[in-house]
Parts: sequence; structure tokens; C-alpha cells
Amino acid sequence: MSDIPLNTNAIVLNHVSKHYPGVTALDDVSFSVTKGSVHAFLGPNGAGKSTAMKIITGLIPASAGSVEVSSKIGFLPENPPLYTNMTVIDYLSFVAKIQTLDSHKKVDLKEVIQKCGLKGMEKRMIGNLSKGYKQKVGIAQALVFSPEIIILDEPTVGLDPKAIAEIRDLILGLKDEHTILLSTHQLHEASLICNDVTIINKAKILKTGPLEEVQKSFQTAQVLKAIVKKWDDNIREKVLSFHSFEDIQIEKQGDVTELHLTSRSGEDLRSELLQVLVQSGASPLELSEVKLDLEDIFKKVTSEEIQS
Amino acid sequence: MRGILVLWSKELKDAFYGPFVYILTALFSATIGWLFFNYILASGNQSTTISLTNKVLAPTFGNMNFIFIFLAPLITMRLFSEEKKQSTLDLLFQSDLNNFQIIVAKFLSSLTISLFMLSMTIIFPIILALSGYADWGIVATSYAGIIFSLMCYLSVGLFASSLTENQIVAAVLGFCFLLGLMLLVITAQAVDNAILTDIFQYMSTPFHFENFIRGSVRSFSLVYFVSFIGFFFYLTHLSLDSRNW
Repeated sequence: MSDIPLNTNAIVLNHVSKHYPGVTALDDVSFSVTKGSVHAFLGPNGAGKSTAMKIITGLIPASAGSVEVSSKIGFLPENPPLYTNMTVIDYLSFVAKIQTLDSHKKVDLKEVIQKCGLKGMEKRMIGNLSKGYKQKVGIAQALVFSPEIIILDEPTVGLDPKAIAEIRDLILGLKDEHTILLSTHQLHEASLICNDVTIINKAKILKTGPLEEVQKSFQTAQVLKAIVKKWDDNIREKVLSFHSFEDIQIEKQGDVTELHLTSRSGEDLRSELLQVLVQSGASPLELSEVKLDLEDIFKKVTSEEIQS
Repeated sequence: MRGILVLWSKELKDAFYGPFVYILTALFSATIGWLFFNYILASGNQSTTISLTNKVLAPTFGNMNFIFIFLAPLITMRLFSEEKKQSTLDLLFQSDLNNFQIIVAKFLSSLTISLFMLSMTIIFPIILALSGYADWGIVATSYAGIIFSLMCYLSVGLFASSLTENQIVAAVLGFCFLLGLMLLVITAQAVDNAILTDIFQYMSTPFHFENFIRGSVRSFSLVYFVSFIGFFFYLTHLSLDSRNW
């Protein structure tokens, strides 16, 4: 595989490997994060996500390969680097100072506090804050010097649903001004906010690219959902004679029947199937294509790996 | 320089907003004050400058040096180990600060705390002056000697703190290093070889400190102190840099 140029990318990893004695944490990893995108970095625990993020931020060196970044990075590690004996404002002010020693960039602490939902918490001791607020302070420290790139390592881990929703809104608010790379186990959350996705397992990249493309690539067969008024063996035979579906799941829901039909190919069967259902007297009420969500892809990818 | 100042002031705020520095200072003041009081009593009615130097000043500073062997690792133990434990060391590494600035800022903050503790002993020369003591040169070199020794102890403690994320382990490690240095004097006396005796003596911090107490500032002692501190700064740098290995 040839090297990925930086060009329109904010982060580029080319053939990056990281070896520890007896363990390979990253094995020939290559992917890029497009400028202005929100890129999800997915993988089970121990897959190599945090290692890759630490290499990108320069905290640890790669054993092989190269990493290119277009500008300075704001980083929220898995364990937020918080001085628990400092107040929120003192902490953010300290981080702003040590992050702008070279650039002498002006920092607007009030704006960051406002953006991160920390208003009213400025004078509170960090050690006394809830986990959700600590996480927000962690994100605030990554934002405080207005970096173009922000890397968030599992920003929602261990938080309650309300805090998760707040962090999601916070990330959505950052979307327009920053390039964001985030790792998470909240696949549903990721699918709501990300444009691109990279899936890693056992130190290797399994899939990387725009979310839709990744979804398509795993969609080897078309799954159709149909709701019909009538369903019997006669209609079933007619449907099967049109296409020998790999699997048909039938669920009776009151007066109607819901069908999940898995085709044997990726080709679009919707219009033909609709005709067949109409002609066979099934009286279709609804027909749509079911797309794999991130959770399905994640399960599929990791289970394929386990099987292989 | 600005980076060092920013980190130095943050470290000092951390230290002086907590009770630990005040507890250590109280412990130090009480111990050394009690010793000083006893030396004054033991000196009897003779209050000549020479007798006060030999019977009060020299043993007081000697004990101060000994006490700091225990206190210095306690002052430095949290400097890096706490940062490692709270994962905040990565924040410093990722900032515009370099290893040298981090080490110097932390060293200077621990030195400032130690000087704050040492400032409690300013009362001793004042009390001596009331008894007619007049050899201020000895007082100045004694303070210079204790400050140089302290800097050595703090640089060792700083290095020990960079090795572990457990503060207690850092303190014990630092103390072991310093005790080893103390024991070199005894080894130097026990060895029946003039060259080895000189080498061991030169490597031992108390040997150089003793010269300062006697009022003699030797250039080789200054070289020793500077190279000692530089060597442990370098070891600390290597320890911090080991994440890249």
C-alpha cells in the first residue's frame, strides 16, 4: 500500500507499528483523518486505539512507520489529566499558559468554559466535581488553546446517559471548528456524530473510510423489510420463485406481517420485490432497505476476526 | 524561562495550599530549635565567637544537614510520582514545556519550599548576635553549605520521584540514595588506601559540607555540588525520556 499524503488530511498514519516486548500493540496501521471531519476510532478493549492516539499526539514513539499531523493537537486521554487540588479556572488557566508558551496565542477562558458547560463551576475544586463534570474539564483542557485537531479517547466512558448526551452535544458543537478523532464504545453515539470511521482489532486496521462506504462494504447482501397485510405459503412460494432469499424472518404484528428478507446478492431488489408482492396479493404497506448500523458492523467485524 | 516560572508557581501554590509543607516545617523547626537550645545550654557561660562557632553553630548546622537527608525526599516525593499517578505528566509532555524546563521548575519549587523551612533558622544567628557573636563569614558559608547540600539532596529526591508513581516508594528510594552518600564518609575513613579514601571522601556530600561549616569555600567543592546536581538532573531527564525507549 502506498503512503497517504497529508494534503487535505489533518492526521495521516503510514504503516505505523508499535511493539512492546512480547506484544504487538499496533501492526502496520495506516489511516487518515480528513480536515474538518469527525472520525470515529472503534475497536474492542486492548485493540490498540489508545496506543495509536498516544503515538499521534507524540506522547510515545512508534516502533516503525510515520505519523503526520497538520497542526497542534488538543488531547483528552482515557484518564483525564486533572490536578484534583486545583480549581477549574486555575487549572484551565495553567493549561492555557503551558500550551501557548511558543505560539503566544490569546486564550479566551470564558468562551471555553461556556462552550464546555462549566459556567458556575469555575471556582469549584476539580476533585469535588462529578465524573461528568470532570470529563467536561478534561475536554475543556483539550480545547483551551483552540487547537485545530482534537483527539478524545473514550470521552463518554463510565458516564450516565444524561452526561453522555451532554458530551455528545458538546462534541457536535465542536464539529464546525475542529477536526475530531474520537474513540468510543458508544457505537450509536458515534454513528450520530461521525462522518468517517476506522475499525481496529488486535492491533490491525480492519476497515477505514466514510461511514456510508464502510456500511456498504459490509452489506454483502441486501436486507429488505416489508410490511404486508397478507402472508401465506402461496405468497411465500411466489416470493421465493422470484429470488431464492437466504433468510426470511416473519413476525406477525396484529393485522399485518413484518418480513425481513436477506438476499443472496448485493443487488437492489426493491422494485421487483414490490411488484411480486403486489401481484401475489400480499398487499404491501411498506418496503424499505435495512442498513447495517455501526453496532452490527462492529459485531460482524470482531466476530469474523475471532472466527478467522 | 516563562515556562519554568509558570510551572514553578503552580507547584508552589500546590505545596503551600496544602498542610504538608507546614507540618514538615513545624517538625523541622521544633527539632532543630530544640537542638540549638541544648547546644546553647551546653556551651556554658563561655560566649566567645570561637566557642560559639564550635559548640553551637557547627553542630547545629551539622544536624540540620542530617535532618534534611530525611526531609528532602519527603519534599520531593510527590513531584513526579503524583503526576504519574494522576496521568498529568502526559499533559506536561504534550505542552510547550521541554524536559529541562519541567525538571528545573520542579527542582526550584522544592528548593523554595526548603528555603522557606530554612528561613525559620534565621533566628539562630540573631540569638547568637545577642551573645556577642560576630563571625558572620562562618554563618554565611554555613548557610551556603547547607543550601548546596540541600540542592544535592533535592536533585536525588527528584530523580527518585521520577522512577515511580508511588510517593512512599519515591521517598524511601531517595532516602536510600542519600544514606548511601552519607555512608561513603565512613567507608572513606575505614579504607586503608589514601587514593580510595580521597575518592570516597570527594564523592560524599557531608565531606564538602564540613568545609563550608569551617568557613572554607573550596572550588573543588563547588565543582562537586554543580556536577552532582547536573548528574542527577541528567538521570531524571533519562528517566522521563524512558517513555520513548
